[in-house]
Amino acid sequence: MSTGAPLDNEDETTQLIAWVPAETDGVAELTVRVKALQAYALAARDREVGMRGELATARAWIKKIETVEPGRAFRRIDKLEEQRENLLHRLRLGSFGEEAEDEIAQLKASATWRIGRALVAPVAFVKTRVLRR
Amino acid sequence: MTDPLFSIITPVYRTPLAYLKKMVRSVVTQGWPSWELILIDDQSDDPALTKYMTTLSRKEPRVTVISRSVNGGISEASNDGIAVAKGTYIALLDHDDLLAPGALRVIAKVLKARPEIDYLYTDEEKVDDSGRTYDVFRKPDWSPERLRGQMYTGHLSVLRTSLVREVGGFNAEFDGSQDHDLVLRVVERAEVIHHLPKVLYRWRSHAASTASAASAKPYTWDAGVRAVNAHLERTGSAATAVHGPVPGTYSIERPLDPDITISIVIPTRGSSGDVFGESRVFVVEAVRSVIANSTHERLEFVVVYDTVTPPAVLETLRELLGDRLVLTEYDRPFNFSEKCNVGFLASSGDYVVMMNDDVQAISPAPIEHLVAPLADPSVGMTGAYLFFEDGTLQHAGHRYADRGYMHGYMLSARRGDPGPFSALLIDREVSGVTAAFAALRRSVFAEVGGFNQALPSNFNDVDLSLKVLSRGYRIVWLSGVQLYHFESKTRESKVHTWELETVRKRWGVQRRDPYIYHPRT
Repeated sequence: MSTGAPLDNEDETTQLIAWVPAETDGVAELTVRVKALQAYALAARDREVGMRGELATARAWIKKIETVEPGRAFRRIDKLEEQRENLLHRLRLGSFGEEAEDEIAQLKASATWRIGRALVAPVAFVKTRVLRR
Repeated sequence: MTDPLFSIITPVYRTPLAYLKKMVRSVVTQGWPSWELILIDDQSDDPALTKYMTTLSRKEPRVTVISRSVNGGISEASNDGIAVAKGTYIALLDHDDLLAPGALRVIAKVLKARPEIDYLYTDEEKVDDSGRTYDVFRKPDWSPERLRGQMYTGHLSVLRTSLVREVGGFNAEFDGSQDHDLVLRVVERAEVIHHLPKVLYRWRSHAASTASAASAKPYTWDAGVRAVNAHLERTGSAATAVHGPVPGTYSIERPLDPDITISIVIPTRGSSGDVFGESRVFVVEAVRSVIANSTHERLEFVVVYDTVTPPAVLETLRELLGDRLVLTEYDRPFNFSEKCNVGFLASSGDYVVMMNDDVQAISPAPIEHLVAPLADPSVGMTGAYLFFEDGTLQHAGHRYADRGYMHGYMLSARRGDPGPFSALLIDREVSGVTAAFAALRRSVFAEVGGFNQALPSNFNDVDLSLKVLSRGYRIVWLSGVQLYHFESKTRESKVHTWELETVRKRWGVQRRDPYIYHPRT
């Protein structure tokens, strides 16, 4: 896929530059050639700005894949911390209504909660059995 | 950075005690220790209030109560609080509103990570007497144009104390819109302004509050007009603010230098079709509507026409425009981008308006109003408000999010609808605009290389917009520049995957638009 005609075509580019001779036949012809050069300059600028965009996009992508895993984990921790703080706040206010109960239900239904429970459950089971003895 | 101390400034005047208690409780239960609450009693003359505040300040050392001997109004009362504030940041909390749980902790985290922030604002929602929350205002990221059109940053505003003092605090001349005035003065000097896209403030709505309706306090609107005009004067702008279409909004009127030349570039193939039950030649009617609605003398119409264009159409254009017409033949396969670039190269104006041949101007002076904001060197491109033939919204700025480039949103809106939080009634920054009717300074068009000719049909305006943004310019959508766009009448819209990939290769996958919030569906 071409991203900046006519620059992608080297032959065309060379042709365009070679197309401007030292001497010209007349004003009309010169005007046409100047317009062609202006079009070339415009396409070149488009290509340059576009390539800068591509570079920035590539850099952002590299940065992202370098940090995405720990980044996701930290964001999740932040979100859970925030939910915990909000629930504590409501407890202090004594306004533990239906909305808060819904939130707890949502929290318990979340994958993080279920995975956590799954990890803790065997330990809790063993602990209970040991304590019973 | 150490934990930032927040000085919460709350002027109190005859506040219903229950509201005040709830407000205080929302602060003391924040789960973030580093704050001081400065209550300024503006001579409420209410023994119950006085008793409550006195008792509170004895019990909670972080609460300071200032009792004014005379009633001075909200600005003077707030300034008394600012004078004694010890915090690095001032947070403005109204006497009957609520901080959302954990708000200060969330804000502190951002400020610790980015201590260079001078002004931070959050999203907000309203709360009624029963505690029900509604009207969540998901705000745009920093949008100076919108702030001139509406005090959108509102609550919660957290400002660097030293900067607030530097600008002289609140000005009582603007009481009613004193917060708008203060924020305008702060942002004129602020280096970093940050939007925290979380709902951290609950604005109480009751019969007497501003939250219930902007019209509840009409004097605030007048004060707002004066505040925006003062801002325009301070920043050296020749523009003037007037009352906007609805209370709480402001329209900015900008003069246009009569000596500038504006080139209107129109790619066409001279198509005809039925609109409003009548047959028309699109390009002819588009030109007619612009001429009929414009008074600027130095207009140049550059019509880039396909070889197949009927000669009679060109003749009509010659008759209509005389020596203002520049005709340029285009004999290559369809490429909208190339046609626009050819038109640009054939033009001579200081400003270039890209205009589709299937539009019809319906608001006065569309060209003048579209071009005028470009006198501000920070504005790189402007766009218009477009409607389908049936009067429904076709374009109110692009939205780039959720992995795509949405040209349309709020599509059910009709002309005159305010949109969410008056978004359709005020000028504002956007991520991009359609090239169906858009303007750029000649230098900016050349700087970004015009349209990308590798995008002959779709997304060329998206790419152009993103190039303009990448050069650090703002793109402003103008609510008052209104046209019909009979898009479906002139070409079938079909988007190819390779077109999307071409844009993505340059600009990446867009996930969140900074200016237009839209819940994922």
